[in-house]
Amino acid sequence: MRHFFKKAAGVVTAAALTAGAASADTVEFMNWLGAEETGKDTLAQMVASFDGEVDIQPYAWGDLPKNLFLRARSKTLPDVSQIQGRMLPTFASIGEMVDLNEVIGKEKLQEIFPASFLAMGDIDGKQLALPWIGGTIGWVANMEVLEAAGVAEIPTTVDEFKAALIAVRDNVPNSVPYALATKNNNSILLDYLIWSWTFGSDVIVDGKPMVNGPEGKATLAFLTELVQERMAAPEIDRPDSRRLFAQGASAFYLDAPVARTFARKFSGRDMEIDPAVKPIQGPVLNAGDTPQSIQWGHVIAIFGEENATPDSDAVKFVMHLLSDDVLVDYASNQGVLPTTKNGLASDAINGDAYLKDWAAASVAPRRNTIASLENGGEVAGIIGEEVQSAILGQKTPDQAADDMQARLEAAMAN
Amino acid sequence: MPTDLSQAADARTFRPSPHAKRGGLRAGQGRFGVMLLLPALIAFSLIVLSPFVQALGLSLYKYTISTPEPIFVGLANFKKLLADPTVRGSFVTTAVYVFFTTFFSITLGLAWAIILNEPFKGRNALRGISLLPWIMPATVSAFIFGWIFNSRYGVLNAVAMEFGFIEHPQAWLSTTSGAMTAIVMVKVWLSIPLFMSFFLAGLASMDREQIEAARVDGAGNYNVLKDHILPHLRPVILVVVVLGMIGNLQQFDSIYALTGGGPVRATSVLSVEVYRRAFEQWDIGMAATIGVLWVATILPPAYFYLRQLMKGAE
Amino acid sequence: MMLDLSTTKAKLVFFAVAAAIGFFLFFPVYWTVISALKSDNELYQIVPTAYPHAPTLDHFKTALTEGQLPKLLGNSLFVSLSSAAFNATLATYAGYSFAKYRYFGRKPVMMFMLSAQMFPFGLLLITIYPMYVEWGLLDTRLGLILSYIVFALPVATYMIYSYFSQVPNELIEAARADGASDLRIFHTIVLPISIPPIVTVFLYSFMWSWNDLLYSLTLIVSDDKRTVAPGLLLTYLNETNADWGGAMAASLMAATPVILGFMFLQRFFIQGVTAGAVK
Repeated sequence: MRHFFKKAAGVVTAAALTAGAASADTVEFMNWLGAEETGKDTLAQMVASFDGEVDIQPYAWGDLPKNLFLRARSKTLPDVSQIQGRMLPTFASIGEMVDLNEVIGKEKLQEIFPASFLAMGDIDGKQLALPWIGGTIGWVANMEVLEAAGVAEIPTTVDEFKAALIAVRDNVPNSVPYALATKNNNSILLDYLIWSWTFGSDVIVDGKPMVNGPEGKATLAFLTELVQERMAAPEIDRPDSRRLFAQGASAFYLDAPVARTFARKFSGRDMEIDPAVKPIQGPVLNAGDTPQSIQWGHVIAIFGEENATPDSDAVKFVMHLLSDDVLVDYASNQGVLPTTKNGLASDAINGDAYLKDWAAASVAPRRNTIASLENGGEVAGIIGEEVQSAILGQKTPDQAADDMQARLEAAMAN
Repeated sequence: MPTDLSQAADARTFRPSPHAKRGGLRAGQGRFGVMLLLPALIAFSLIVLSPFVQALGLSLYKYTISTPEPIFVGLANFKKLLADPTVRGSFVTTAVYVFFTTFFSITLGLAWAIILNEPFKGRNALRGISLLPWIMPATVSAFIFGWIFNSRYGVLNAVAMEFGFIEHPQAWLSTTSGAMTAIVMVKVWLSIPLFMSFFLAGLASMDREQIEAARVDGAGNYNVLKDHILPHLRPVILVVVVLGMIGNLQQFDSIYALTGGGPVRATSVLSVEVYRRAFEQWDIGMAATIGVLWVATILPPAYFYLRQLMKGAE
Repeated sequence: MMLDLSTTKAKLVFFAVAAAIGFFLFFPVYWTVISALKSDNELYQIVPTAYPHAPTLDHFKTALTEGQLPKLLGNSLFVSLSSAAFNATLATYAGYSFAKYRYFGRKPVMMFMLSAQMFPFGLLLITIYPMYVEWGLLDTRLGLILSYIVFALPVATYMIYSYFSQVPNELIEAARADGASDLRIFHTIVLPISIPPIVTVFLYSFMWSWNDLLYSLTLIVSDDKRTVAPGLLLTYLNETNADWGGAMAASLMAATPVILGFMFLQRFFIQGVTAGAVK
């Protein structure tokens, strides 16, 4: 890999740097972990325990994809990068990622990782990334809010769910009973997907958009009703949901296992709030249906042919990050699941009731349908906009569903 | 106000006499003129021109994240784009945004300048802090407005509910007109200091005797404003319109931070649309195509306007 | 001074307009200040308090000690001052050239410069980025400084041009008759009377780079070279953290030195615009 920062050091010196001399020692690691207040020290420790040189290149979470893209365009990709699981198919199409089945071996990888997590890094039979931390996007309930609203049992069906929301709305002043994402297309997409599955539909069926069937229309009508009847509210993005939830203004929302970390932080009550934060199975349309959740995780990808050997520093560094102690420390610190078999079996994880509950609640996580699309960004934009136009009352749910279908067909025809 | 007079006098020193010959110096000095221009021209060519031309060219290519090298597709991007009603919407949204921001920035900037031109105690300090909106980081300012309009913690809802205007908190930014109003307000707020300074400058060089003479003839405030102040400020207004339009057309940070282009597409002005196409949908060819259409739309009127301005100046 | 405020009606209208604009202009400032002074508990109340009931300087203290504010501020001042000086210098020569010399391509070049100013800046970033990598300018302060040419040079040149076209030719021709060279005339006769407009374009360029987020967020990667706008965003308002009080306190402190500088330069600024825009 041509070296980004050394290259940036000056035109004159750039000429003197041969590719081999530059890439032998330092591993460039692009990540957002190091850009976050809570992750900076954790990352520094992980790097310090590695026997080799690592150049930590932190970017803000929302900014990393843009920078990865620009660096791909200017042929200065890093050796290793942290990537959101759902963005992997998009970035895999850059075509520079190392197939780890060939470098490390498929069997060895299957020994280390459970199949479900390994699948996060699998693109068309190639292992283009390794899972780092994982879990699902699933439902969390605030037990204190439910109690205040007089809801004794966790709702299991959509009807019970609605009844619980109404109870919260009527008994907890200024509440947003379900902090449905209604702002930011990428956030809306996740809530929409879950509900679309819950209503027995999917956005893409056999490679074709399928959003204006009866189930699709019911999904939009339901979400619209939630907002119009003040069971959910406009102008809410995931960070808003987290704050509302932590402050006892919301009873339910969708998030990754990091939900507890945010609840501790935004409530100002730290671990005291833990008993109130409960991962639950999502409501189902008819009793006995499968509760829905979405696969979620962060993966690590390695770029560049010169890193495609088992003893390259890049591969060694990635395996270091995934080694038992380092990984378990990191995962339990962030309140998420490690992705290796050993990690999952470790005491730190096993002894955490919250994480156990989380794993138990997500019975059959499904892959984000949109993530595997090459133009997933465009598709997410269309879905988010049409969902908004329905819930904000600009169109009828049926009209929005039809428009969404037409726009998705046009987008996917290309 | 002695300080004002001395300032005005300073400024007048450079004002040409009405009989001064303006425009170019003798012919034959052209080469030296080119030499003076050269540094700026080189810098401009390297940093602006070459990326600009490259970006124009990209509109003819399919260039997405999955195409390692751009693929030439001719006018296919334009065809696709012109068939897309959502992009036409962005042109309208941009026109609305640019019109209202420019109009209100100039009107309010002018009004504020006239107010700050009157003598009163603490005027200079007020002029100073009037610059604050310009100096606070623009993104933070957008967040401050977001905070004020916020449907939960926002002071707007609190006040409106206190007075009984609304029963439940309203999500102002979730309505088409509310979101547009908000992004226009932020931009106007950010722009007032700059325009105010321009107008204050224009006012400082006004001939006070002329106004006093008009007063003696019985002119009221309105007439003074219409017949003397505005005509005097005409050249300033012409320049400020250009600055305002360019700045408002390019405005991105505050809109993206406040509404992200939503709700639905209510605030998807072209700068936001280009950014989203390029960095959220990874379709550079399409982003470039929007850029080209944008320039093609804006250039003819801009050309005539600028030509008039240059004629006026020389 | 220009208005006649002797009648009650005039006074009323004047104060009503002044109050309305003043409120619009300063309420957000007021809200920023009190938000910075509130404790987090008070800040996140559903019904906001109109003034801090228990004012605290905690946010200011944390911003100074834990945050990187001094470093961000230093970087921003360095980058913005340099780019403003660079733009103002180039614009001054170019504007003088456009105004006082006649040569082939003069008007088209100027028109073209202004037209390029209307092309979306975000799009230019995509083509500037690989170019910067190639030239070794990525993640350098020099690169960021140069990139602000995009924002400011054309309009700055135009502003200077409109000033110089008002400077009487007699002034220059008289000096020429004395045998002075054109360069010398420009430096010793024209420049000294042109300080105000030059200060004007300097400030104009300064504000562009001071406020920019789009370029500074992307062209600068290292923490130690970050400027204020992206720095505050990354520190206070990111995905995992929304520290409003901190953001407000930090942006107020970041604005202070610039406000002071502006108040000092304001008399030049105001004269400068006058001289440039008035015929």
